[in-house]
Amino acid sequence: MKLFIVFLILLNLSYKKTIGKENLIAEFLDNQIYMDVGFTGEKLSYFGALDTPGDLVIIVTGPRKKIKVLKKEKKIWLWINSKSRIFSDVPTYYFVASSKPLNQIKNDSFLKINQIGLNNLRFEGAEEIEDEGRLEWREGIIQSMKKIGNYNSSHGKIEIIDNRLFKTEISFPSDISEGTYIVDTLLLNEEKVVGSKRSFINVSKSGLGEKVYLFATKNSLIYGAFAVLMAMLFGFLVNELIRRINA
Amino acid sequence: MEIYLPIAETSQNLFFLLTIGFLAGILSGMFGVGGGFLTTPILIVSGIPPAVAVGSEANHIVGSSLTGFLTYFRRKFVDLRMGSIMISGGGVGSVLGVYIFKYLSTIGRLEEVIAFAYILFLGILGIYMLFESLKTKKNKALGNLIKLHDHGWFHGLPFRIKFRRSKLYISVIPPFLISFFIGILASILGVGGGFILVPAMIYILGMSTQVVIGTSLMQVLFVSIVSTIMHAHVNQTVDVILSSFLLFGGVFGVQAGAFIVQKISGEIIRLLLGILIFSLCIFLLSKLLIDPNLLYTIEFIR
Repeated sequence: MKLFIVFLILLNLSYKKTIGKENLIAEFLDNQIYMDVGFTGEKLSYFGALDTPGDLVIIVTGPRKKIKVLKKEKKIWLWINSKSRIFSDVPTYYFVASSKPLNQIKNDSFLKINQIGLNNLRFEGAEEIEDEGRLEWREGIIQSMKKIGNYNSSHGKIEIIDNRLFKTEISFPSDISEGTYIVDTLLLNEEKVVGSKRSFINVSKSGLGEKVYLFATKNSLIYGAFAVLMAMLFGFLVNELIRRINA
Repeated sequence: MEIYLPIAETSQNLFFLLTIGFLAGILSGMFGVGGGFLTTPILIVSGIPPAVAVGSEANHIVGSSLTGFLTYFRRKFVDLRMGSIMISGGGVGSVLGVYIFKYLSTIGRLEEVIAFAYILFLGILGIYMLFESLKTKKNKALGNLIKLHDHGWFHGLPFRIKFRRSKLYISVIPPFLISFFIGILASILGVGGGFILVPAMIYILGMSTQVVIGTSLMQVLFVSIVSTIMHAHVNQTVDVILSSFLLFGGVFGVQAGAFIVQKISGEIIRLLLGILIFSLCIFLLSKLLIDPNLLYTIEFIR
């Protein structure tokens, strides 16, 4: 069934292709992620077709946010947070996949300018830290993000079949933020970009989870009262239950 | 089975949450404490953001302390007059505590303060309970009589009131101050404060032990209500989904606890609880002493 849908979309895409001249077509089966109570992370398949042979790079960037970074230092015997810095514009999610190792596809300055690859990500803010110190803080952010699973720790792979079709899987952990995720796909041939495509993924809370979140943020005082009432009802019922059992 | 917690913004294992709720329930069934001192650090260690763990735990304690309070109230083991004074002190303290919590969180010191406070209180309490349970065992064997309570100078401060149920005639200032500080602590640490309040009521105020737990639960209930509403309003860190699973696990825990209490003698229970508290303290301390995997930690700013 899934294959059939893929086939239909590809058919549709190749039809579109004859109208506008594109070297690259790519699409998601589903570009919506809903975080309901049962949400535990998600995998999206991303696939498409190439018109000319080449190498592919796919970069997924989550909404950028301000983050506070704390650094631990050993004071006497104890590890405590000794310094904190604010970084603005840090992608809450970052995923990169390519059909070949990145440095074999394109030169370093191109990768650096376009922030392709974890090593080339730039974070704004905390201007007072310079050079080597900054690299350490940057690495710290990347390591923490990898630990949560928001940055992919192993480089993603893209399969290209018959130099025509490609497919990759992008996985999202349960800690991802809401918002629009940008998916950039580049087709490169001999260091030249011969095709590119930008698509989007929408991540939003939904169902009961969304209701609770909206309630808690929009009507915080009433939400607090509701939380108390719920807990009291629970406490009361349990007490009744115990009484019945003991009686 | 994993479940997504919308305020904590992460998913957690359903059975894990139920088990923690169950353990806290056992403690409330056995000792009439909310179990927050055990639940909050475990939630934090398991990856729930500390602020959300504290806020949701306050909410959890509302339910678990009400269960206990009703039981003691029906048996008339509550000193309502003493409880009212403690409520006023605790209420003021817990509101102040939520603002201190917010301040600590903005300057990035929250996690350390929580960790240090837990290590300190759990350490003192754990060692104390171990010694106490061993001593009572010995005293029992010797057939010694334990004195009801000593009169301290603070008992004679102005505004003396007769607390008939507590068998006391003391100033209202010490209970007010004690409950005030415990209110602050409760809001910052995500505990009801019963585990500190109960010994303080027995050994500092010298209350009749019969009404101590019921009266402490009255204070804990009120403080956790204030603290939940304040955390929800000021910090938006109360996750009702998280607290409902803890409460649900607690349903079975409370009964298990009430059953265990009838089977095992009091000293053994206190010894076991002492060991539990002390090992939790050592665990939290080791996290500060051992070299961390990651030197940097990140926090999203809303």
